[in-house]
Parts: sequence; C-alpha cells; structure tokens
Amino acid sequence: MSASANTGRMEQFTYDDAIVRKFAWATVIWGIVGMLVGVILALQLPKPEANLGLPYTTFGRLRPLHTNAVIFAFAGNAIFTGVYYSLQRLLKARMFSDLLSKLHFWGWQFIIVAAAITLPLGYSQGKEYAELEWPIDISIALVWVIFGVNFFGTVAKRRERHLFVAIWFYIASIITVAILHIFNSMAIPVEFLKSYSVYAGVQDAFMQWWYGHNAVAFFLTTPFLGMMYYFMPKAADRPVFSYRLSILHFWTLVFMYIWAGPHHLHYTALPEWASTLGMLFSVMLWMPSWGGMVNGLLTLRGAWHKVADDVVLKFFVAAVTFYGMSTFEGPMMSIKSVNSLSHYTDWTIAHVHGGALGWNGLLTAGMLYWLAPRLFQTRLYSKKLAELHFWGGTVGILLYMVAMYVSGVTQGLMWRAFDETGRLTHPDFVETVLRLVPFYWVRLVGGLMYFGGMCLMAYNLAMTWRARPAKYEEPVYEAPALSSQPVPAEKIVSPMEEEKAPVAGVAYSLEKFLLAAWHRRWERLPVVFSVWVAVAVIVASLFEIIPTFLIRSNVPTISSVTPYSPLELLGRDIYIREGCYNCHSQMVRPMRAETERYGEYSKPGEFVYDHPFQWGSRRIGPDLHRVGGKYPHLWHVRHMENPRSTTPQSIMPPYPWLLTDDTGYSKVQGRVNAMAMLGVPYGESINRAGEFARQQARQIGSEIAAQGGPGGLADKEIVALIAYMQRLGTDIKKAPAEPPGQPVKTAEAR
Amino acid sequence: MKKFEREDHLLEHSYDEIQEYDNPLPRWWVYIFWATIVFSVFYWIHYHMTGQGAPVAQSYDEEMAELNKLKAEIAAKEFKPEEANLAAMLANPASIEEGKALYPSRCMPCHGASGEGLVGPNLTDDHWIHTKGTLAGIYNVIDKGVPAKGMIPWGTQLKPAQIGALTAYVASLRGTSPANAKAPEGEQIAPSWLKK
Repeated sequence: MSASANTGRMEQFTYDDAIVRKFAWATVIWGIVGMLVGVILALQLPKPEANLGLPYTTFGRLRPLHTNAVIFAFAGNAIFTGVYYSLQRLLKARMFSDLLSKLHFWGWQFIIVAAAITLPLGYSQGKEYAELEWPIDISIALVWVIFGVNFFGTVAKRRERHLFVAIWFYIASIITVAILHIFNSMAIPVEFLKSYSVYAGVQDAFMQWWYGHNAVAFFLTTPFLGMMYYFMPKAADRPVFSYRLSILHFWTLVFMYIWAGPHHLHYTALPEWASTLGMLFSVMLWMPSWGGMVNGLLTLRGAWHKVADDVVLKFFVAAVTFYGMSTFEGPMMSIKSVNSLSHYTDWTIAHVHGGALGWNGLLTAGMLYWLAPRLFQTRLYSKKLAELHFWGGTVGILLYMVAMYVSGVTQGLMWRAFDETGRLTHPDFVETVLRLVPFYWVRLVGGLMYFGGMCLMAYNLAMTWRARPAKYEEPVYEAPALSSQPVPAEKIVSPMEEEKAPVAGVAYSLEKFLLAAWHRRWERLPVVFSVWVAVAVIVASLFEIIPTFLIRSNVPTISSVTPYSPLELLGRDIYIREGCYNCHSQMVRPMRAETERYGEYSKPGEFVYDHPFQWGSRRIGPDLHRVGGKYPHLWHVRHMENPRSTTPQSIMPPYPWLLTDDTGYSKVQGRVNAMAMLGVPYGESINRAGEFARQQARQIGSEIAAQGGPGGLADKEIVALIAYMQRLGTDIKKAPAEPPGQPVKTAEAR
Repeated sequence: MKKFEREDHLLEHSYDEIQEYDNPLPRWWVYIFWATIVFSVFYWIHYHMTGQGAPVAQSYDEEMAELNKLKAEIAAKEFKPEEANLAAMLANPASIEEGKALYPSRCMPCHGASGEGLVGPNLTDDHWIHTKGTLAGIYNVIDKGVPAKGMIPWGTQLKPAQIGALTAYVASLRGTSPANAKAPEGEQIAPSWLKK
C-alpha cells in the first residue's frame, strides 16, 4: 500500500466473520446434499430401480436438482464464503451492510430450498442449469442485486486505494452473472410455477448456451480464480508470480469467454458461422485460461517444499492442475471434428466433473481447511483426516474421469461404426448403452470416494467448530481512510529508465505502457473498471446475439412447419416436466451415422415454435427428434408404463403415473394464449383450445384401444405425451398444406 | 527489450500482505496465444470467406453419396429373400439357432417368449394376417414392418441374412402349441413350405 496516497485520518474497524462462517457451513451442507444426489443419479444409470418408482426421484427430475445444487448451492456458497472473507481484508473495510449480508445469506438459502422442492415436483423451464421457474428466477435476480449492492458498497468505503486482482475477478463475476441470468431467463409466466421462454428454437438454443457456457465461465471460473489469487498466496506466503500476466489473462478471459457458448451446439441447426466463432474463441481461450494456472502454480516457486506438509496447498495445487486440464480439454472438445465424437456422450460428463470436482471442489476444500482455524479461532481438528480427504477425493476424481472417458469414447465410436455392408454396426441403441454399464459402476465408486471425502471434511470442520472459544475474538484493525483528494499518479520506473538505457524517451513510455501503468490507474477507479468489464462482456455478446436474432437466412422458413396442437403442447409440457431432455436429444446432426439411425437431419426452421427448445446435450437414450410416427401409440403406452416390456435391456425408468394421471385440460387455454402472445400463430385454438385438445385425445385414445391397448386412456397424460411424441419431427415430411381444424399461417424465422 | 526484463521484481503495493512480482509473461505462453489467434484467423478465412472449406451440409452430402454407392454394390451380392433361399435356411438347424438368438430382444416383447402372441399375433398357428403363409411373406413383414399395427421395420437394424434366419425360426415355431396361446387371427392358409 502506498502511504502517500492516503492522507485521511486513522479509522478503526472490524471484519464480519460471522457471515463468512454462515456461508462456510452452507457450502459444506449443500455440497453434501448436491453430491449425494449425484451419487444417487450415478446409481440410477446402472440400476434404474434406484429411483424407488417415485415420480419425484426419477433421473429426469433429480439431475437438474444435482446440477443446480452443486453449482448454485455448493459452489455459490463457496464463492460467497471466499468473497466475504477476502473482500473485507483486501479493502480494509467491513462489509457495507451487515443487514444486506444477512439478507443475501438467507435469501440465497431460501432460493436453494425452493429449488430443492420445486425441481423434484417437476416445475421446470426445461433449460439446463436454468430450470428454476420464474418466481425463483426473480428471487435470484433480487438476491444477486443485494449481493452486488453490498459488494460495491464495500468497495466504495474501502481504505485501500487499489483493487487487487482477486477483486477484478469478483467484479467480472457479479456483473456478468446478472446479465446472463436476466437475459436467458426471459419468459412469459403462464401459471404460478409455469412459464415459456420468450425465445424459440435456434435463438433459444443460442441464448441458453451463451448462458450455460458463461455460467461455467463467470460462476465456476472467474470467482474461483479470484479466490485462488487471494488464498493461494496467503497459504503459500509467497508473492503472486506476475502482475502483468494477471492483467492480460483477466481481460482476455473476460472478453473471449463470452463468445465461446456456441461450441455446445456444433453440427446442430445453429448457423455455421456462430458455431465456428464458438470454436475459434474457445481455442483462443486456451492461453488466457492457462494464465490463471501459470500464475497459480508459479506463485509456489520456492515454496514447493511446503506442499509436502501442508494439506491446504495440496488441495490448491491439485485444484489448479485440474483447472489446467479442463481448460486444455475444453478448447480441444470445441474443435468441431473432436466434438462430433464427444458430443452427447459421457466424455462431456468426464470433462465437466474434472472441472467441478477437481477445480471447484478441491479449491473450496482447500479454502475451507485454511479458513477453519481462522474462523473458529482454534486448531484444525485433524490434519490426518484432511489428508485422507485429499487423497480419497483426488483418486475418486481420477476413477470417475477415466471411467467416463472410456465410456464416452466407447459409445461415441459405437454410434458411428459402420460395417462392411454400409450398415450401422450397432443399430440397436440399447446395445451401446449396455456396453457402458461397467463404467457406470466404476464412476459410482469414484463418486462415492469423493462424496466420502466431503463427509470427512464436514466431520473435521464440525469437530474444529466444537473446540471454538466461548466467544470469538473480534480484532480491531486500524487504517487511514482514503482521502477524497485526487490521487497523484504513481511514479512508475521502467527497467530501462532505471538502468538509463541509451534509447529515446519514447521507448521509456512504450515500456511503461507494456508494464501496464495505465491499468494501475483503472485499479483505483472501480466504476471505470466495472464499466469496462461490462462493455467487454456486452460488446462480445452482441457480436453474436445481433446476427443470431436479425439475420433471417439463419433460420430458413419451412412452410409445412405448424404450431403444436393444444394437446401436443400439453404433452410437450409433460416432456419438460419429466426432464426428458436430460437423457434424450432432439437434434439429429448432419452425419451419416445419425441420419441412418434416426432419419433426416434437423433443420433450423423446424423449431420456430419451440418455446423453449429441447435439443438436449446428452444421449443416455436415443435422439427423439424423428420419433414421430416411428412406433404405434400402443408401443409408447407400453414403453412408458415399463420400458423393459418393449426394450428388454433398457435403463429408462418406468413412468406408470402417466397412465393414471389426468391431463388437466383446464390449463390448456392459458398455455395456448401464452404461446400466442409470443407470436405463435394459433388461429382458432385461441378460443377453443380445450375443445381441440379433448377431440384429439379421444381420437388417440380410440386408436390405442383399436391397437389392442387398454381403453379409457384418452384423458390421461400419456395420451398428451404420445400426441406430442408422434408429432415430433414429422412436419417436414408433410406437404406444405394447412391441416384441417387448425388454420395457421406459415412458419417464419423470428 | 529482454535484457531489461527484471526477474522477480517485487511491486511496492501489497494487499492484506499479498505482494506481486512484476515478472514478464512466459515466452511459451505468449507464443501459443499468438498461434491460436493466427490459426483462428486462417480458419475463419478458409471456411467463411474464401468458400474453400466445405460447409457441413456439403460434407454430409458427399459422405452420403459414398455410403449409398457402397450400399448399392453390396446389395448386388447379398442374400436374396426368395422362397427357395428361405426354405433352405429353414432346413438348416444352424440358421434356426441364429434366428432363435435374435428373437428374445426383438420379437418377444410383442409376440411372447414362445411365439404365443401378446400384443402381436400368435406365430404358432396356421392363421396369417399379412404373409399369406409364405416364407417370403414373413420375411417381408419383419423387414418392412406393419407400422399401422405397431410392427417395427427391422430392415433398418438387421441384415438380410439375419432376417432370413429370423424368418426360419418363426416358421419353425408353427404347430408348437405353446401355453397361453393367443386366439388365431387372419386367414387360415396352409404354410407354403409344407406344400409339395
């Protein structure tokens, strides 16, 4: 700290560690909950019966709970723990408002509880990592604003002139997460816990993966990099390796990450230029990402001997190494030809768990072990247990990842294998699933080891907490307030200047620029800094968003594509409720192995009425985009009632309640009207949705009976779902005529 | 410039006692970063500006043309589902065994473990709905399916010789009178392979 800049009077202050303790406990508890759900899901793949036959615990409903719990509950609370602890110290200021801190804490826990209740009940927007319904989405936005006000309020009353690199990363996270959350979650509320995305098809997919990928970037990467920049040098007691590298990798990361989202949509109906941009910016992201790894690992130069005895450093070193692996693998998987093999397989699952369990999980654990003695003001209960956690957890991750790599590559290769007669070698999809079952068991073992480590940590921290003093000490610190006077520019002496190198004066200036003197100025101007971050993120986003929404040729019109009938819409809502997209894609890629297996590849114009899109990201079961008309209704009835009656080796869970639960026609008019508000040309259905729905249901019900199936199904959910599934992907096979009873305009790219 | 770079030069500032070095960027880091940028520029030019890189749809069409050519060549040499060829398979216990192995995962769900019929018709009686009691007819139903009734077209998943084996196995079930047999459906016709 340069004393000359501070001319204010001395002030005394304390830090709010009580809030840090709260967030730390929430991290541990939600970590265990989220990972337990993960373990249950891992068991359900080889043993579908593990859902106990309940609707609430099926894979499709629990998987969103798992992802939301580990990302937003576990990692979220970990971020807040790290930010609330480090921010106060880096700024020499107590949090802006203790009340806001508490509102933030309890608000966030309320959101998590709301998620844990609504997701198993099937309330879902049907977009990955953004499943929570609109009232919860609004709560998230509010609590995030509370966090932001508390954060920037603290920045405003700081007693440290310049912002340390950790804070740059926090700022980027807070601003960008707000933007991503708000724009991706734009939806029309239909009922208290039901809404439709305002975007459709290609555009919805684009927005979703702009959000999804940057949730990885600005929720799981930048805040954790910020935490690394604080806790790593603290734990190692070494200076950060390179200030200049911090600057360069920070800005390149913030600017480039935003572009990379479309790499989740290679070979889909997304326009090719967007897909290419996603790939290229991902490739260029490799070094900006590795800048963080380099700065982390090289900070340990001269301190490597400490790693051997210090379990905290072990966690940090492993976390940063996993970060390096993931951020190499990410760019590699974004290369189209690699992606054509890896997409929809367990390879992606391996990749994300390397990042989540390795980088986020181990960094969090290291941070908590470092914080425990400081927060509870006593010694850590057991170093041995922490060591055991480290080794068990790390081996667990490796087992998990190796199993999923093998599984992913195996299935990817089986899907694309052709025999010498030009036929698919494994035309039966379930054959490629059965081959994976042994790896699912290995993954379960790896996951259990990691989960066990989390439980050890919980025990260790609880025992440490028990040994806390009767009353926590609250040390009082002293620092001069920042003066409101303009700050004279810091004098920066470049090496050439220092050595009086015989060059022209302009060389000195150039060197100073390269030494980032200009950046030093920004670091004491938080508003300017935040504005530049927002500009970087928004400009980069608009480069992709504007053409995606405005260029009509991106989504060529297909005139035979018409809106879903009211009954089909209800069926689609059931599809979303049950989380079918968690295991089934609706996107046939233009590859011979896909079109031979599923049928014609998917066209952008087929999805113009899909609010939200349901393209999916993993094929645990086969693609469903061309399933319409492939099987008779009765096949679907029997398959839903018990998948093993039609596919003896299937690992899909049964859905018998669909055959007994009523469709609930009372909702259909509201839903059709909401869709019409979004511009779906519903014609007559705007007034007669219920009538049309019943009519179509009776028709399908009698067809099922005629095929030898049970009668009386017409008003059951299964019929609505069948109506939707039989419609899927069939529009392009029709002549572009208007179907009777449904006066509709032609589809347009909107 | 390099001469003037300072190794491990500590900057004056510190934040909560964390200090920072002003070390230069690692050379390899800078070089790889530039390399990825240059690669990206050329990739974009190749695929999106000069028109030299093939769009995905075009690559797909080329791939399919190749596949269809191969299929046409193979079709000329493959097993022909003619009555005589199928009858030869029916007479060959090895073919029946092969068909029997294919049966459980594909046919059993609808036709029962022994062909007694469930959702699908009984395969063991002398009544025929679609096949007119001929081997070629059975082959055709397995190959093309009866989509309206829920019979899946297995031709997309099985090779002609496999469908032939299944045909032989199904024909061999005739007259086995399994338990729980479904009532006969369709027209009663003496099977073609028992004539003569």
